[in-house]
Amino acid sequence: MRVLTLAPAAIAGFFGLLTAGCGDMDLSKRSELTEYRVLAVTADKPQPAPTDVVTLTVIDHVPADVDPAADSGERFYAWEICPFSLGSIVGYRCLDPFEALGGADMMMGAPQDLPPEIQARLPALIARLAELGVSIDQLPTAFAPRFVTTDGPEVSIDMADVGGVGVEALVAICGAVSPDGICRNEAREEVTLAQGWNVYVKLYSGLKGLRRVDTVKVLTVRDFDGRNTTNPSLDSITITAPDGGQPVLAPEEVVRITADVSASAADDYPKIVLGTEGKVLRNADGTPQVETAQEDILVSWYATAGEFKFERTAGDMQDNEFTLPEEAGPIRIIAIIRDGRGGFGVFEQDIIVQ
Amino acid sequence: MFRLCWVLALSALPAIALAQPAKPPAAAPGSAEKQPEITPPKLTKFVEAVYPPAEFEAGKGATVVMQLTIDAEGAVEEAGITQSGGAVFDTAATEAAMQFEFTPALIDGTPQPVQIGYRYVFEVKQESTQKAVEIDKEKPTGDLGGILLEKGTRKPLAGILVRIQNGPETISDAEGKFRIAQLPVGNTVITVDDDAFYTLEDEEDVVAGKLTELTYYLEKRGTDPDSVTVVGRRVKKEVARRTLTMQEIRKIPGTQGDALKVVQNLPGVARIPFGGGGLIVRGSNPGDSGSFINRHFVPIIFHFGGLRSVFPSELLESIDFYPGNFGAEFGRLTGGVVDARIRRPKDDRLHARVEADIFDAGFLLEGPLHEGATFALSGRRSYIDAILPAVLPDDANVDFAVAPRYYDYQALYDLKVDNHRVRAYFFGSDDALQFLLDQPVGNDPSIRGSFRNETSFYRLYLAWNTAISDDVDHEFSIAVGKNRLFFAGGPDLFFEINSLITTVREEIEVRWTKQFKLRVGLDVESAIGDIEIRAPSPPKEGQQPPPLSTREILRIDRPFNFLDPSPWIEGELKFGDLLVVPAMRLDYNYTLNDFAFDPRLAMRYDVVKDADNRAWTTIKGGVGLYSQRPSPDESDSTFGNPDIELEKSLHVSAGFEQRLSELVDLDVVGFYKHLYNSVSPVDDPQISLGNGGTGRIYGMELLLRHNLKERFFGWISYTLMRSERKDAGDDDFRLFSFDQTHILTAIVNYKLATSWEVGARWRFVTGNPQTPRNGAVYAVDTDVYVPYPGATNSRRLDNFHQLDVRVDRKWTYDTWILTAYLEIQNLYNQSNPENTIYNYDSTETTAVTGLPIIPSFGIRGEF
Repeated sequence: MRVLTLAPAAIAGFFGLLTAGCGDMDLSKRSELTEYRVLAVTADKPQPAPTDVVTLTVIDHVPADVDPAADSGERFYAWEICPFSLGSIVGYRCLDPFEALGGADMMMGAPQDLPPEIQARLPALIARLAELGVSIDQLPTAFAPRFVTTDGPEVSIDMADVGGVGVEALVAICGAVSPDGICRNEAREEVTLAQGWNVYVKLYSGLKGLRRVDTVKVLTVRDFDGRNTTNPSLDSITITAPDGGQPVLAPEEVVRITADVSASAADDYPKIVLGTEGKVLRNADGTPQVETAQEDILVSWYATAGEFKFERTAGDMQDNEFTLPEEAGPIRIIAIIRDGRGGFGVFEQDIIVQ
Repeated sequence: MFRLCWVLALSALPAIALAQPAKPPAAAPGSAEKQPEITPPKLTKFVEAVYPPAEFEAGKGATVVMQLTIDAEGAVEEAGITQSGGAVFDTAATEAAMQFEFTPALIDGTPQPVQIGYRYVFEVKQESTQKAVEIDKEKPTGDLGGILLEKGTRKPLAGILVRIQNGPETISDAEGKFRIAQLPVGNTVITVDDDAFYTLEDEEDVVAGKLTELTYYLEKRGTDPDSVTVVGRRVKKEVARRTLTMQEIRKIPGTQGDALKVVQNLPGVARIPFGGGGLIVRGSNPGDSGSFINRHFVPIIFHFGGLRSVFPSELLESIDFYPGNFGAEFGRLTGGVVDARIRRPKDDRLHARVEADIFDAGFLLEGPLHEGATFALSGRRSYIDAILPAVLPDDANVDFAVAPRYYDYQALYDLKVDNHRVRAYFFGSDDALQFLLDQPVGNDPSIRGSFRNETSFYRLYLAWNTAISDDVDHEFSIAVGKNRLFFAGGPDLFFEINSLITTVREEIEVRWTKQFKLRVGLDVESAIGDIEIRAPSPPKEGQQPPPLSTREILRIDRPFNFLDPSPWIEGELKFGDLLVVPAMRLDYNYTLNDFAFDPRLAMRYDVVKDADNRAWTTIKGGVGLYSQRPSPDESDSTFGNPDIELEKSLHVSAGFEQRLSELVDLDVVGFYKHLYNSVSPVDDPQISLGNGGTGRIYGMELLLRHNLKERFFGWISYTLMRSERKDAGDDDFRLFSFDQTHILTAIVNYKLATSWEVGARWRFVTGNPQTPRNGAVYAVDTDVYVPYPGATNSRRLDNFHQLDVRVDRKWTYDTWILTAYLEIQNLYNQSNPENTIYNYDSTETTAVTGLPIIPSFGIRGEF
């Protein structure tokens, strides 16, 4: 008899972390802004509809000592729009349509060489695609990524053109070619447009000749009651002495820093109820069962100098501690708020260490 | 006149330890695994040796140690010399010994021929001292009597000489009692003298017409070579079964006396990084090897993945470790097997033991219950939960609701009536941990909130052994109990399995002739339970788990059940000095609706034997098929692929055993394992797993062992190995995650004096392979960096080496013994890398090192 070892391994690992943890841990910290960084990618429509055009904007940080006029300091932005991704376990590699579906055979026009289970579903697939205005010839390219380069930190993506066929067609294709006729995600959950289809946008940005940062942004395309998420806002941050008084802002002073998250930042949203096998539970009339959930707010802290006690604060506990740098001078503190469903907000504050 | 003085050094009780079958006894079913119950022979007729005249005249003495072969009637068949006292003394001693008579030794209640060690001491004494005092029958007299007990253990000491100064003498009987009658009243000096014990002298008043009752506690001199409890002295039939003595186990540095942890020091076993549990045997995955108690599978063998074993060492009779090519009685595994055997509780008197170390404290109570029945009760609980919160800094960002705590418990009942033996055991284990992380830690913001883990199991084990006839033995055993595994972590992770497990074994052994033995058995495992999981699919071997918050959470909540019967058959054929063991096992797996026929063959040939028929050179080999079901998540319709099949492996091994001296053995085995049908990831989002994996593992193991004798024991264990995997047909072979080319362990233990022992363990192990990271991609929505994995296991950690030392001190009081030890791990404070950690975007690295120099200590009191 073999047993699942997931939970004991996790605990053993944690216990090991608590009791071992020896070694030189002098690694650079994520909250220290000393080089080019991507801090957020905001979307004007964080959860777009299948026919929306979405504009993405990169919030990035360039160190003060980089000369933007110099060749080596010029920023670049290249985007890869990936209809299907193999997920985080392989670094969000886009699915290769030739590997996945015998795309080469399709392109060669030899459906008899397709896997038998796809051959059996081919007539229904062709009929469904016809309803969507997609021909069978487009099928092997439907999963191929598209590349775009932009001069600035913005790009616009038409959800109706993702994969060349549009998101609605992608969902249909996914269901048509799957073994049981149900499109499923990595979690084997049934994927519908009501629940959302993930379009992966990879961004390769940085400073030419100096540093490149790879980023992936997930756009969950939904078609459900028009109640998709909105971007949360972070109205201010408050800096006080530990006792709540006025801080001196002296070198190496420890101050209390709090993100003032607005009450409306965490949206309530209808969440599709999934059964134990990951299948959408439906009402008697066929509509998906829904429950109300609330977004989970996370604030990430950054500073050009100094050190935070927590690099992130979560939920209602937005108190943090910040140790000012040893050297006097101006520093910038940036707080990024996320709602966990693609929504972002940014707040920046400059302070001067006396 | 002179007189001859003899000392029966190997008295009845120590002889229990040394008694071993002179030839293979009529074994009970499963003799390859079971320890027979041995009742040692007792000397009923002693014949004094003729003192060689020349030596007598010269006043020379000598000690002759013999190995006596005693037949099933109690007669001495043969007396071999194991320690010579000189030719003339040897001859005199053996001539006398051949006339000794014993009660027959009983093995599992049946008279059997056995061998025992026997020491005969020739000592010259002035006869005048014997007769210097003539007893005046006119004067009043009294008697002296009493009992001789071993100091500390209170074992009765038989065959010990008790002398009255210038007076008569006597020898203690089997119960340690003695009596000397009609001594002159008044002060008299008593001497109790034996080579194995410190001489005791006492003055007592003899009272007219009365018996003066005395109790003497004799303290042992140093290590009594005959007090070693030797386990595993069974007829070997496997290619590589390694058995340890419990006395060795207690003294190995770095194990805190934990018997099951000692297995990690044997050849073929990879070193587990600190905090990891399980056994990695001959390059197999940890889940491919299993732990058994009395051949019934147990879900965990260590608390918290390796901190302490779940069964106390004191209740174990033996631990058999099979790194490969195990017999047909074990199955459903393609790696190795550890089988711990529970001993019969002591039946001479009530014994108690309490002990404590830095992790936990425990107790053991055992003794006779009624005629033929013995019992034992024991328990242990950790107190880490009391210490850890106190030493954590206030700003540690972690609050323990339940700091790590574990406990285990055991209740044993053992009844022997005629040729029946009934055993009822109840044992279990419970681990729990709960903590709260106030804010996210590390790279992953989802690692926050409340974490709770509970792991527990219990078993009710019942076994019935009986001899159906002289040639047929039978054993039926059943273990019923529950497993519970619970884990809830943060907002996303949840994991709970509750199951009722039943394992049943039925075995029959038929000894057709002296050359042919047949064993058949049925091994059944079944379970009924519920499983609820909300977690991402666990990474496979060689994969790096990406941050939790980037994974899709899979959900299942359903009941499950299975009934997996496995019949097996095994023969033992002897052709002179050649032993051939063919076997066959059929494993059916209900969940996969798949089955496997696993034929196996093992052979041993004694090339060189001595006059006492002991093998000095043996060659051995084996080949066999082994199969196992994939782990439950791998065959799950949500987490894996329900259409996958049983994983398979072929084991091939060959080697030799060479006895280099009476105490030093060399065991060398070369092995090759081919893994096929292994579950591995598939680059397909619809079918995540398949049976396309293969593997190859090859190497050699060496064990040079100096067995425990007098003051010293030790061994050198060395494994040279390469373990590789191929995840899919077109891939190249890559290194297994725990491939360790060199694994060297050297262990020594030396008894300095009666009360002090020192030991040391030094290990050298090749660093584990690791998969490097080629930077990372920033998953901006979840605020984590997801590493780009490099070539799987293409880099190694630095080599590991460490020295651990241990000092034991024993204080022996009249009625109890106090023992304390101090262990220092990593004596020269080597910084051994255990893992590589990266900065947030995987562009900088540093090593996580293991524990620095760490002292620990323990204390034990027993009677």
